[in-house]
Amino acid sequence: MKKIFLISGLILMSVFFMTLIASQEAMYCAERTTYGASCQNVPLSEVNTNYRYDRTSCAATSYCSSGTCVNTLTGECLPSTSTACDPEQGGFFYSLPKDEVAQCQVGCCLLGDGAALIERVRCDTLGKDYNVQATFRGDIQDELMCLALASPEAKGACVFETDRGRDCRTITRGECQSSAGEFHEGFLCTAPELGTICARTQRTTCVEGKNEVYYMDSCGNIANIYDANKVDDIAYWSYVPGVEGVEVSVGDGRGNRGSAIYGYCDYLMGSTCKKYTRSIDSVAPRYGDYICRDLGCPARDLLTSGRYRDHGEEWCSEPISNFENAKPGQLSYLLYCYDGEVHYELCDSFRNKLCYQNTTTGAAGCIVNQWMQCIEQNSTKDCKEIGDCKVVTGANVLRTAYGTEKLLRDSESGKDIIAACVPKYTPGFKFWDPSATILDGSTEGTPISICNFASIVCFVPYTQEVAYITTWRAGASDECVAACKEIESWSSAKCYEACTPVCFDDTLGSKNANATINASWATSWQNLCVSLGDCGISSNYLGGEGYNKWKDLFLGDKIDWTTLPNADSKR
Amino acid sequence: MKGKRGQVTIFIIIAILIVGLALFFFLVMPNLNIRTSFDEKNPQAFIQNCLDTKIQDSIEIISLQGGSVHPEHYFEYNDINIQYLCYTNENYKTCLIQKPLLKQNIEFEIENDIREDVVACFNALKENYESRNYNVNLETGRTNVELLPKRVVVSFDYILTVSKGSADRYDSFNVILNNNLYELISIANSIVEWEATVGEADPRLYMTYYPDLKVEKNLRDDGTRIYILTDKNIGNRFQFASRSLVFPPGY
Repeated sequence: MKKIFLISGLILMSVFFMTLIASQEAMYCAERTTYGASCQNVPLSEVNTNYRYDRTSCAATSYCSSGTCVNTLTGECLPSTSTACDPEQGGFFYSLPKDEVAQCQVGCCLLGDGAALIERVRCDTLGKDYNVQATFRGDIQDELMCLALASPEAKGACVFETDRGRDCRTITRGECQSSAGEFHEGFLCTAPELGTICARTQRTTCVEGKNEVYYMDSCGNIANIYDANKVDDIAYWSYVPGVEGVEVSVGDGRGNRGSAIYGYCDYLMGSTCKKYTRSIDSVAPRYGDYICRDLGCPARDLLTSGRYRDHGEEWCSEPISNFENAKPGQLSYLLYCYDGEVHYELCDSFRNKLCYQNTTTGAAGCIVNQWMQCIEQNSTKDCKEIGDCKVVTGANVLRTAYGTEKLLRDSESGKDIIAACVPKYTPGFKFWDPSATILDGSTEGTPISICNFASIVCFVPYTQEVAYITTWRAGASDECVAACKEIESWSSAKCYEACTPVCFDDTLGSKNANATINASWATSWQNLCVSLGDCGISSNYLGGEGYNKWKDLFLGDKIDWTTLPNADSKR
Repeated sequence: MKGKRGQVTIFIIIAILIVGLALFFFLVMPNLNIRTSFDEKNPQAFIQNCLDTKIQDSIEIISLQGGSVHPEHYFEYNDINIQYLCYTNENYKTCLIQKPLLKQNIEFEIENDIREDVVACFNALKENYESRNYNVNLETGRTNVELLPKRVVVSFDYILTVSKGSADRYDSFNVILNNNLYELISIANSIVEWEATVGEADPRLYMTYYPDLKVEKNLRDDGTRIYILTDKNIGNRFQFASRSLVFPPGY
């Protein structure tokens, strides 16, 4: 005689059941979709039939195949489709990747007195746009070598005779010659031997395109970098750095943030020239109104987690380890401080990317949460090595052909154990939108939710060997044992053991007694359930408890629920 | 009874006056807008004054909408429809650049958007001369918009000949605006290239290279990213949408 207990809907959230859109729609390459996008693979209903379209992949069409679009007017080379690269607007399409198009070859572009490593076609256009001489050197591919070729024109003092006396401007030799001035290379206008009307001052200024604080002479010329110790230094006010032993002091070598004395700011080190503001800058410059402003983010900023952050410093909203048992709504952000402002980026709305910070280098970034292949792993070793996976013992989402839980090979002992390889960092999904949680219908064919992976129906046949004398014992179904023997070629005893369910206690007091849930089995399934995603019973990331209790997810008749762990928990 | 009739008449007269005033404001006021200061020796200044605000507005709208006056394929963000510059409707795939000729597209959009105002301003210029008893000949031509480093130049191939005794010919009309759209578009193209090849761009890279640039990246639920580029010195902003290398939720 058999008594069958049914536990159905374990971890089953009926809300996740939905109708699968199983019909495989034919896909078309649309030159233009109904919503205005170009070159997309879409169903016919989304094709704008006023444009070209074919029942094939876009990669196989002439008009939407990928290549490189050279913008002959701006000199930019971008990956594109031929249809978007309109020749009438100056586009020229090549059916080649960018690095195989000669015009898009990267080399050293000598532009005026500067240099940059850019594409050949871009070099020509920048020369026109900025109205300077452009020379392209395709043989130079190294950035440092390219920058070394830049030849900024030497500056010096250009003296003019005027009604007011000997006026002076700090400009290049070429500019001075075209102004009919008298050029003195390496000199500043305040050099006493030039006898100009320009004098030293205590005034300072910022210069566009530069980070440092500069002295300014009485004629408004930019002099050397601000250094309070050299406010009256004749040589410092006479020559540019490198001439007659004049040197610029780098101060603390770390950008001189908030220094009253030095103006050698460094953007990469976290400072730049700004007008002194009492409410922002802690220290006033000894001379002038400009200072190396600290570009760090103050601790009072809500996003700095209560600590001062350096300019360029990056960090995560919380450590990646916090996502091992992520709650619904728990998201990972990358934060960084730039120019006194904290910026933040959401890594992914569904935890498919998480912020990771290297504890040694301090570098932080969003990395892919590699959980997708976890479930299909066959051994604990593979599980740990494949990506972001972990082993949960006592339960498995996969089934054997004869209906038992598939075993996982324990790589250390060599034995097969009941365990599952599941995501280490719990992924999320639109649990509020059942239609968004389905599997790909083309591969599965039946409607199923993610959480339903962790659902199980456990049939337990109880038998009494000697009527009215021996106890009722859990056993295996004959069908399961037979199938097991055929598939695995195991002995009857081994198959009987494999086919005997463990969800209830293996004995039953009487024929009509309630079965008692095996607490360890239930715990394993609870763990498996919450590891798969936003499944099971959980509080949200703010601590708000869920709508259901674990008890609501374990269903069945004639069951003693007292041994169910966390039965009344909603979190 | 007579009193009541009188009241009705007064009401009718008031109603006619209100309608008349409304018509006046709706029909005549637009023309008043382009009555800017007129110096008969400097028609270029008149055109500059007349079109300056319109061109600035047009550039601002186009910049906030990803380079289009009326975005066709867009993501709505903060009540603004932002054009996709790179897009794929598929998951796990990088996007396709939708506007590889962005600079030309924007120049064309600005040109189209200001077309009516250009005609109105030149007509107003002509009328101003005529009202001062000049014989006026206005040859209309093309409007060219050019985005250049740190400026936007709008030039008009119009030829204006005015005569009152002696004749004067003016054939150089343009409006120049200080604007960094050229630079922002160049950065946008670079970001779009990253989106199309790698899947996304890193704002930190750009902010390190360009201290005056602020780059924001906002990820939306469907995988769309909104990039906002701001010139910190003059406040120009350019924003656009991209959908690339999207990992969908679930298995």
